[in-house]
Amino acid sequence: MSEEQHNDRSVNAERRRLLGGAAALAGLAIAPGVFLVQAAVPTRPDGTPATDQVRWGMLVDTNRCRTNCDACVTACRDENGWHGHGRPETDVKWIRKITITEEDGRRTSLPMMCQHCAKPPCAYVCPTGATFRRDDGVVLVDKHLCIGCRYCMMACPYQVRFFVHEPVAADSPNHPRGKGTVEGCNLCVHRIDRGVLPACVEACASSGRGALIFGDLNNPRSEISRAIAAHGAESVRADLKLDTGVRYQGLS
Amino acid sequence: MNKARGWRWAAAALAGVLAVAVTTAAMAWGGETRERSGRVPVPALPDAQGKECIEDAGTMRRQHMHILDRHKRDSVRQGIRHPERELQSCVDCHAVREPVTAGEPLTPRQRLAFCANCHSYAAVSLDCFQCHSSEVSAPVNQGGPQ
Repeated sequence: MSEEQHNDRSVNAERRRLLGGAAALAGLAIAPGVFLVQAAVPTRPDGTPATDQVRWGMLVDTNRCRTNCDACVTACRDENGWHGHGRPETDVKWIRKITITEEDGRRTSLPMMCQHCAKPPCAYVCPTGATFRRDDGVVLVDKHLCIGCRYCMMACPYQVRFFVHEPVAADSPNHPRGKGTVEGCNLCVHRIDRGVLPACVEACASSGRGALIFGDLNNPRSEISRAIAAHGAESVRADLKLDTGVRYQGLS
Repeated sequence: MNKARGWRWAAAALAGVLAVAVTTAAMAWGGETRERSGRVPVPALPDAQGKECIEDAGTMRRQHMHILDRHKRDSVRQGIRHPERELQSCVDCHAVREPVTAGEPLTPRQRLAFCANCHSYAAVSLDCFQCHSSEVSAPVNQGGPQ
């Protein structure tokens, strides 16, 4: 790495710290306990591996999620370059909006994506080790190893893994995609590794109603842990005891 | 008699060594002139954007596949990021930007002439870009985390 780049990066880091501080102050100034800006994702220095000291998770507040809003879906599509072909049976949908209708007629809208289980059935059945759980809790597909057998799709109880049936234009530098492999939500690893929130969370905060909180489930002081401690949260299909990283509020 | 035979052997050995040395030198010289003469189509490598690569040219020529392979495993499976070793960083630096034919957009093959020319010369298939993007990334992504 050249000296010049090095300096650039330290300047940027400094700028980020200053901006972060300013944002925190602004949030504090409006009302105690009300934060307009979500805490930035703690950054991990380049060259260091993900560790199990952090467990990334996402909290969906279904009370804030609107039925007709799909800001998270659009943002994910743009970020990761997946597009439908008008064939709902086989189209790839890393994240989709579903509506649950209770027996009493109450309707709940929520986004459904990879739940990043601590005990991921998809990884257990993968014959090549392509599907794996990274140490910080993100369940990923190593497409260099994926042979497209689709066992993981059958094992997943949430139907959030998709097989790429058609040739794709390699137009997103963020996430390489290829026909014949399986893919799903990766919690925007390319973003969280450089300290930026996942695209859906960012979009929900700016054009949705801020229903998504991303953060470290292991850190009791993180925004997500405090929200879970305060109001509780549950997994979809909690009976399966998969210890999901994505939790929901307001389901029952 | 024995002495004369010994001398003959020595002379033969010396001649052999000289012959090998002369042939090697001639081959080296010949190789250089062939390259200079342009009769053999050596791969043309477009200039890169940056001043220097992550390693010197010789190392990169021999080891780039191992560097990429190692980085591929480390970054995908363990999340070890080295922005300067990412394939996208290679593309951002080495990709051709000006259109080859005026008014027509570059094909991926033209854009990555740096990789493709050498790989077709060496008859080694290159399938990174079946999935990875051959497009230059947005400035915000360049040079790793901002």
